[in-house]
Amino acid sequence: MTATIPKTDDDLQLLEFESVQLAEIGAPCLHLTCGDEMPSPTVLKGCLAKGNAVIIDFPVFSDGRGFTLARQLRQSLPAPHPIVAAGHIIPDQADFLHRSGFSHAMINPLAFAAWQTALGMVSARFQHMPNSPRGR
Amino acid sequence: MMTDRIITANWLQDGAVIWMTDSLGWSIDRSVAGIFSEARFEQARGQAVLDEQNNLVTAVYEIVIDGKAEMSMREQIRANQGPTVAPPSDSGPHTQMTARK
Amino acid sequence: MYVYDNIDRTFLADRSRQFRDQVARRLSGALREDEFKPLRLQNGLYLQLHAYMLRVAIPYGVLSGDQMRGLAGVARDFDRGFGHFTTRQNIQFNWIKLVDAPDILDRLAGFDMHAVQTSGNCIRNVTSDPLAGATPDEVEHAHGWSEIIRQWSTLHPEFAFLPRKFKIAVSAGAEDRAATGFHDIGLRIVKSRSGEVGFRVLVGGGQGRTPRVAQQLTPFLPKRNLLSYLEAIMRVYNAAGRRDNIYKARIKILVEAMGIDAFRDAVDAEWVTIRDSAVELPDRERDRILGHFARPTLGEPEIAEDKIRNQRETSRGFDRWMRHNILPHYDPGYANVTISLKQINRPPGDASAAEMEAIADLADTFGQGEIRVTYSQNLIIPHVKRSMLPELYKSLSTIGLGGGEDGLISDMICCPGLDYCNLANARSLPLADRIFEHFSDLGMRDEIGRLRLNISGCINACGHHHAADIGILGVNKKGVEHYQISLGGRAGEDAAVGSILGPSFTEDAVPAAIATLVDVYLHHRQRDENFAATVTRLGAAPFKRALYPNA
Repeated sequence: MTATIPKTDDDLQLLEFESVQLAEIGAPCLHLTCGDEMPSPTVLKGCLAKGNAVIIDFPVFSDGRGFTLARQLRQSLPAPHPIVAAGHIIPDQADFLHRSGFSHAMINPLAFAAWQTALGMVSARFQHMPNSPRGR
Repeated sequence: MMTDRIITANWLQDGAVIWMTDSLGWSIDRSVAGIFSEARFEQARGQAVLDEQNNLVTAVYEIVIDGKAEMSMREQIRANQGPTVAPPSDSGPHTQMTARK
Repeated sequence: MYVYDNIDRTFLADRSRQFRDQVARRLSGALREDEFKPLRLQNGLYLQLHAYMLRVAIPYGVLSGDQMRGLAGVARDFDRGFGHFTTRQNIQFNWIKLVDAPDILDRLAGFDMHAVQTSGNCIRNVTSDPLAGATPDEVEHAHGWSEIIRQWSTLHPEFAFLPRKFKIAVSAGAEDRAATGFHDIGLRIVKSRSGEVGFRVLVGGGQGRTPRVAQQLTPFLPKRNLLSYLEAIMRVYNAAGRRDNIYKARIKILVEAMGIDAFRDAVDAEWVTIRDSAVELPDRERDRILGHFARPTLGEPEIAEDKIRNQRETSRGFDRWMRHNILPHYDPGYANVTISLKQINRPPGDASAAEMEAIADLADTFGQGEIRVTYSQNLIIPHVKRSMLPELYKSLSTIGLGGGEDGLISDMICCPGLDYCNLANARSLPLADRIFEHFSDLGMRDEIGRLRLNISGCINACGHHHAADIGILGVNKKGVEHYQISLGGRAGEDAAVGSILGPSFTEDAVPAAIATLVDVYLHHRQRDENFAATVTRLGAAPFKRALYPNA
């Protein structure tokens, strides 16, 4: 039904966090990188209207700005609007990405099992996040 | 020779300080550390990188040694495998001293 | 103290399992070292000078007797029979094997302890007043709020990869015993004029290469907004803190670059989007946590003063101990007891496994089963009946821990230095011994009075030398260990960074140099001025002149 997100040379695939399955979604409307400013309200409104994904690229997995960017984007683009983590990300970040507001991650399909295992390995929720309320 | 080097690292599994030997193996005994000059050093370095990639060692680096210089204090401490001051010694499991009140 | 429930215990079990899996993947190569390192650090495991070092969290410095016994067991079974208490109220073990680490985390979890976020670019152990809940000078029990912050900061998904480490301290006393002025965020619990209790929020303090005293962000933050405000600060820092240079990555650099007013504006802009939202701590959860921190019900103590007076006349050791190791308690029949871990031939802050077990017993017998780790690397048993002090002193003496004095020149704060640390430029421990020896005369120590002397083995300043009356910084000058001396630092509510007096000294020359500074003080002090007050009054000049007469 919709075009897939263009695959990179590595033939990556999209992991959807909520369903823990590989997924396909439409072409992105915005491609951001860690360290980018928040897009203007006009741009965000456009994204919201079209329903297209926002990709946030991690140049390195330890660049934590991507998490704040996703969290801030969620304020204008509430779930289930697709926000995709891409670039250098590792399975051990799965919960952090998910709870910060990412709906999908672009992963190497060979690592799918590792991502699956990582998601939900630590169930604690000690703080409120928009898509994962606190456990207590 | 001015470009003589020794290669040191830590075992990945237990963190022990190790030195590369002449035969390109590793030892916790610095006195058997290989001293590598120019061409041999490249070969030794290559082996170290391989061992790192094979998840045997980590934190590899080289120490340039020349004829006159002593080991730095840091390297002396690493070679001696312990601090220069004694930690408190454990006198074994302590039995309860006083009855609970 | 906080007692774990099923959610907390499940978390530790999950976390252990996760780390075990990560270690296995590292050993197999499925995780590269550069990917594994931040994960390893966030479980407190450093690759250090001799081996891996494990830093176990002691939340705001509080642990039970059972937990202390548990740590003794870890020291004995997995390390070399001792542990080191740090300036952030944690404990460190120095010869840990990576392959043992998952088992150690499991063992720790068995007595509700862990090493979560004790290292790495994340929010670290929240530190606090070691006398909280036992002191007459507090607005409220600081540990309840420390626990609230600890839980909020644990595995916060947005802040797991900050530009750099992040340290928060909480104090509620009139005297700031948590050095909040030198933390990334310092929280001082205060009472407004209307009697409402809230937080004075400080930001941008720190030691290290560029020491800074924290600046005020807001004079009064209502309690109910604590978490949203903290999140707003963290978000500004996470987004804008420098990531290009590890020496410029702390929040203190950002606050200075932006200016405190612009920084505050940025925080407020974030805050307005989450203030009073679901981010805040629900009342029920707040009450649940704070409920663990009511002052204990203390039994009626017997009148003790005659007994104590007699004992002080009989025993000089007990008399000194009463003078220097007893801290005030809100109940006149009780006391808070300092166990000094500062002695000749003891690395400051180190305790053997047997000593830890003995102290655990003493806390159970004489206290309320609780022990606190102090910022100055000592231990405190709170809530001891004054009538039991002579017996406690006797028990401590039997195990060799009846000496030492809180706050005197011998009570040095000292980092492990080059004897243990990869980052160090010089050793700190032998120097501590030499200074200790130089001032071994008890009468001299008493004469000098309160003097904070701190030693750091490198510019990272883990020994907090910037915050000391006399600070010593180890440097490497052409391969030889040298030491720079600074003067006039303060760690309390009037925090200040000390200033270097002049060129560095060899290790041999340091004790005499310290003695020179002490002599200047003794010569010039007025009435019962302490060292800090004399330095404030006179400035550094007379001290500099005495130290460098030919300059």
